[in-house]
Amino acid sequence: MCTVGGGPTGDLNFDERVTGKNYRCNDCGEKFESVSKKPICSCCQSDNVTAL
Amino acid sequence: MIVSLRDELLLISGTRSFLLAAKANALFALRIEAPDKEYCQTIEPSDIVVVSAPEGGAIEPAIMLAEFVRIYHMPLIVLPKDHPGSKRFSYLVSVGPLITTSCTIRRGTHPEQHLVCSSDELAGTTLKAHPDGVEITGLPSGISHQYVTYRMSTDFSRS
Repeated sequence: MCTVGGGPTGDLNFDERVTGKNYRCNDCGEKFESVSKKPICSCCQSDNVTAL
Repeated sequence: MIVSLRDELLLISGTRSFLLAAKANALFALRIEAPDKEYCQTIEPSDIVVVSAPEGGAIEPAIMLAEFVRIYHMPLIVLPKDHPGSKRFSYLVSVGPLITTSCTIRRGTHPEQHLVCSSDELAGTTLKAHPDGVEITGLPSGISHQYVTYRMSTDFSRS
């Protein structure tokens, strides 16, 4: 059975390890945070983005 | 073990739980809605979508969940760590180039996509994207896999 609510070993703290960078899409202007090395716009899927 | 995978779905079955895997087959930005922010993860065509059903159950919801992500690019919702709804989740999904199953995490509460909650009988299985499909390691003995196809039709009629 999968542990629900924490098991004997406790739960891993993933939230603290999620770090992304903020970007702005040069095509549609959308601002977003991406955790990927090759960020693409979350709105128009363009890879023409600039790190903020 | 490398299993060929293109458009079809791969069912990995234990005695009381299962995983369903599929290739993403598209480049898109997957939105992940965490409790405090929204962030995106670039999904490559070779990446894999894995749905886990820790207690088993019908396969159709797993198929729908996989297709919500890979065809319709629906965002993933991440609950806060102590959210009471965590225990209600009977189907979990993760997307990425490498996904490992674990039975020691709280369902639906971790935004990182390299882990998915599973039953203990399937825990430790790793699915890695491969040009020909998916590379599976750590699969316990006695676990079977098979391809799954489905048909969905919608009929409209005047009432």
